[in-house]
Amino acid sequence: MKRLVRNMAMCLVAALVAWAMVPAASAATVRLKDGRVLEGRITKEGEGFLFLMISVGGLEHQEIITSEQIKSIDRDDSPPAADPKAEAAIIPSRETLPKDAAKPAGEKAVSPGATRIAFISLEEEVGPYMFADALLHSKDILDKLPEDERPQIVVLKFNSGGGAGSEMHPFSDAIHLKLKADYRVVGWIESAISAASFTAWNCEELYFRSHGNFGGNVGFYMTGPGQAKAVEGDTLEWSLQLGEMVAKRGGYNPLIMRAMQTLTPISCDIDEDGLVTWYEGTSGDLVVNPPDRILTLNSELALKCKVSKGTADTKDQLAKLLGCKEWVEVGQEADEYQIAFREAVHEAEARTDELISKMNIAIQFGQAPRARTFLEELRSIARRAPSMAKYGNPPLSKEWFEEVEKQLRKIIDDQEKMKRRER
Amino acid sequence: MKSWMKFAALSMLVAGLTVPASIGLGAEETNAPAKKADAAPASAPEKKTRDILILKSGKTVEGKILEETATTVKFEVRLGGIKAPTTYEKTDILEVKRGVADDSPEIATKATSTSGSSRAKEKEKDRAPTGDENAKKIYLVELKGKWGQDVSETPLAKVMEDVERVNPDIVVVKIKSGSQLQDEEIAEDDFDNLFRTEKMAPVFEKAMIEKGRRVVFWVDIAQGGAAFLPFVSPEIYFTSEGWLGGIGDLGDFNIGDHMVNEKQISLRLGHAEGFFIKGGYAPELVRAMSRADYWMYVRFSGGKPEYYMDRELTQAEVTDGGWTMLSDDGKGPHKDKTRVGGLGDDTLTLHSEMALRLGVSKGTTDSMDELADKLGIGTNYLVLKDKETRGPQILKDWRDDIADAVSKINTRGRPGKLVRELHEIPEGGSSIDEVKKNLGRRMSLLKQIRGIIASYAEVFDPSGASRARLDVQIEELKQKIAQATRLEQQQQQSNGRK
Repeated sequence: MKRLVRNMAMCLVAALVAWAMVPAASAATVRLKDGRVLEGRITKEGEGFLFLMISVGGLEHQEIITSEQIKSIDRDDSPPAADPKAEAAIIPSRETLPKDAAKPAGEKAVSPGATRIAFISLEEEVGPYMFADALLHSKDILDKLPEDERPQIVVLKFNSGGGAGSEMHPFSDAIHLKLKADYRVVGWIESAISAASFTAWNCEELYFRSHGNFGGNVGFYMTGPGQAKAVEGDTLEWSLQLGEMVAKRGGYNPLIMRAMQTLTPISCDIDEDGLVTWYEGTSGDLVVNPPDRILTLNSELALKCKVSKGTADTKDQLAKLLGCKEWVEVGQEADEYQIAFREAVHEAEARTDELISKMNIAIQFGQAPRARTFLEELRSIARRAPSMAKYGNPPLSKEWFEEVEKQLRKIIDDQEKMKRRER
Repeated sequence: MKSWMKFAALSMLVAGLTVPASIGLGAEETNAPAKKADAAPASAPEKKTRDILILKSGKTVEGKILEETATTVKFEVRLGGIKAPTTYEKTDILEVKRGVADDSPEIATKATSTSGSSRAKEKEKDRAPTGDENAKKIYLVELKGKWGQDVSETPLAKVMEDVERVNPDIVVVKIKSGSQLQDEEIAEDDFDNLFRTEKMAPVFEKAMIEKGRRVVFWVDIAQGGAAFLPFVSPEIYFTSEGWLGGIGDLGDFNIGDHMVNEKQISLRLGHAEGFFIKGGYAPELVRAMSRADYWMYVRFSGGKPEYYMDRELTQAEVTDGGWTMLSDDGKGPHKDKTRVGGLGDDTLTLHSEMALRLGVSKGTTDSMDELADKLGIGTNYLVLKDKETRGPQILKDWRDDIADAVSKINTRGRPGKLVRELHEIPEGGSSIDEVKKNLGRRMSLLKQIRGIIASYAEVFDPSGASRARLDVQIEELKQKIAQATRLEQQQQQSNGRK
C-alpha cells in the first residue's frame, strides 16, 4: 500500500510541533539582569517564562528565560512580513489544537508542487546491518514507484558506531555509483563513526542532528581480551586510500578524513565569502583537530568548518534547510525494508548459536526430525537477513546450509543403520 | 576480522549481577565542635558552625578543618552524610572562613532552603485538597538509585506516558544518582554509562520537542551516566549542595594502542558533546569533565563565560586575564587527592555555584517553593500527589522488581535464590521417575530465570545472549526428559512382556 504522508511546512496543523523551529511570532530584544542582551524571536510565552530563538553563526538555538532573569523586553510588534512563512508563526495554543495535529495528516495525494523526499535509516553495525545489498534493495523499491511518487531527494539517516571494514567500499559504491546516479542524496548524521563515516562521506550534502557526531575512523583489530591494535602496513594504506576516495566523492578535502584516521592535526581559515582553506597543522584560524588527537566532529564544529550544511532535528527542519517550502514524505516502504532487515539480522545474531546448539542436541539424542526443524528455522532467518551469509558467525551462506544438510543426512543415515543393527 | 566499530556498552551478564543498595544521604551535620555559648541564656540552643574553604577554582567546600600546616589544610569535607578527609594546598585556596554559624549569610541559602523545604511540604499538604484550579501543576519525577538499573528506559517511558495522561504544566525531574549513594563499589564513573543515557534521553526529548512540554531538571547528585541526562533540557537547576560530574576520566582509557585509545576517546566525546549542544550548552565543558589532561579556565565577559583549554596558564596570565581555573591536568602535584563527593579538579565537576556562574544552572534551590518561584510560577503551584500520578509508583515498582530479580538470580556475586535451588537439584536420581522429576524441576527453574531476565532484558541481557544460552540449556533438558520417557516406556513394555 502506498502511503504518502503529506507534511507541509506551511500547514497550520503541523505548527503544533513547530513552535521550536518555525519563524516566531515576534522579534524581540531581551535585556537580562546579568547584563546580557539577547536578540531573537519569541516563539512561546507563558506565565513567568518565554522561549527565545537565538541565531548564532547561522545555528539557531532556543533559550528559556524566566521573568526573574529579565530586565526589559523590546518587542518589534510590526506585523510579520508578507512572507507566507509568517503564517506558520501564528501558532495556536496547545489546548486549541487537536491532540494529533502534529502527526502526519495520513494518506493524501501528493501535491504537484511539493518536493518528494524519502528517508532511509542506516543504523547499527556496518556489515551485518548496514549492508550494501540491502541499501540497493531499498533503492529498487524507490525505483519501482510511479514517477509522481518517486522521491526527488533521498535522505540517508546515519546512526552507526562503525563495523566491518570489508563493507565500507561496497557500501560507498552503492551510494556513489548507484543511489547518486538517480537521486539527489543527502546525508543526515546522528552518528557516523568509523566505518559508518566512510559511507557518509560519499554524500555531497551532509546535515547533522544537533547531537550528531562524525569521525573516529581508526581501523583496528583485537589482539586479545581488552587489547587492540591499530591497522598498519597495507591495510592502513588501503584504508587511507579509501578514505581519500570517499572524501573526494563527496567533494570534501581529504585532510579532514585523514585527521579522523590518523593523529593528523588540521586547521582551516574561513574567508568572508565562507570559502574554507584547509591546512595540515595548526596554522589556520580554526583548529579543527589538535595534535595527537583523532577527529570526531560534533554538529557545531562541522557547521563551522562547512562539512555540515546545517543542523536539523526534525524532518521539517531538514526539509526547510534543503530549500523545500512544501514537501511530502514518499517511499516509506524503502525504509520499512531496512527496519525489517535489521530486525532479521538481530534475530539471526541472537539465535544462530542457539539454533545450532539445539540442532546438535537433537542429533545427539537421535532426534533427526527435530534437528531439521531447527535448521529450517535458521534457514528462514538467513533468508530475511541476507548479510548473514557474509557476516554471520558461521556465515549463513548457501554453501554452509548445503554442507550442514549433507552432514545431517549422513548422521540420520548412520543413526538409522545403527537402529537397524540394534534390532 | 578488522573492526571499525566502537566498543559496545558493558553488557551486564547474569553472573555479574550485583545488588543495588542505595543508602540515603543523611541530614547535614554540624562540622565544627559545638561552642559553648557562655553569654547566652542556658536555654538558648547551641549555635552550629562549620568551616568554609573558598577555592580558587570557584568551588566552596564546607566541613571542618582537621589540621593545618604552612602549606596545606587538612579538611573534613562533608557532603550530605558523606565525610571525607581531604588535604588542600594553600595555593589552591582563596579564602578560609572559620566557625561560620549555620544561620550566617554564607550558608543562609541552605538554611533557608531547609526551612523552605518544610514549608513547601506543608503548603503542598494544604494545597492539594483545596484543588485550586488555577494552580500550575508540577509533575515531580525523582530519579534515584543505580543508573541503568534502577533508572532505565522502560520505566522512564512509562512515567512520561503518565505525564501525557496527567498533562501537567511542568515536569520536574530531580536526580540523585551516583556511586557514592551505593554501599558498594560500583563503576558509576564508567564513561560508557553515557550510552545507557542515550537510550533514556529520547523520551524527554520527545516530550519537549514533539509535545511542547516544559521539562526541568533539578540536580542533587548526577554522577556517571546520570550527569548527561539534564543536558537534554535548556532548564537545569541545582540544589545548594548539588553537583554533576564524575563521569570517568577518558584519559585512563587503555586498550594497548595509543591511536585506538584516541579513536575510542574521540568518538565517546563526540557522543557526549552532542548532549551538551542539544540543550544549548558549551561542548567544551564535557571535554573538561571527561579528560583530565585538559587545563580549563573560564572568565566572564558581559556575563558570558569564555573558555580557554589550550595549555596551562602562568599565574600572571591568570591574574591579568581574569581567568579562573576549572580543571587542571591531573599530573604530578596537580593529581587529585580525592574525588569523593565530586571533589577534585583533574576533571571538571559542576557544583551548584559554578554551574550557576557558567550558565549551566539557572538557579540554586533546595525547596520546591523556591524552584517554583524561579520557574516563574510564583507560589500558586501544586505538586501532583502520588494518588494523581503513577510515576513514583512506576519507578518504585521497577526498583523493587529489579532488586527482587537480582536476589533471585545473583546477589553480590553469590548465586541468588533460584540459582541456589537449581544447584541443589541432584543430577540423576534413584529411579527414572525421580530423574524426570529432577530434570523437570531444573527446566522449570531455568524457565523462571529466563522469564525474569526477559522482563528486564534492557538491564540484564541487552544482547539476548544470556537468554539464548538458557534456551539451549532448556532444550537439552527437554531432550533428556524425552529420552527418560522413552526409556521408561521401553521398561514398561519390557515388564509387560515379562
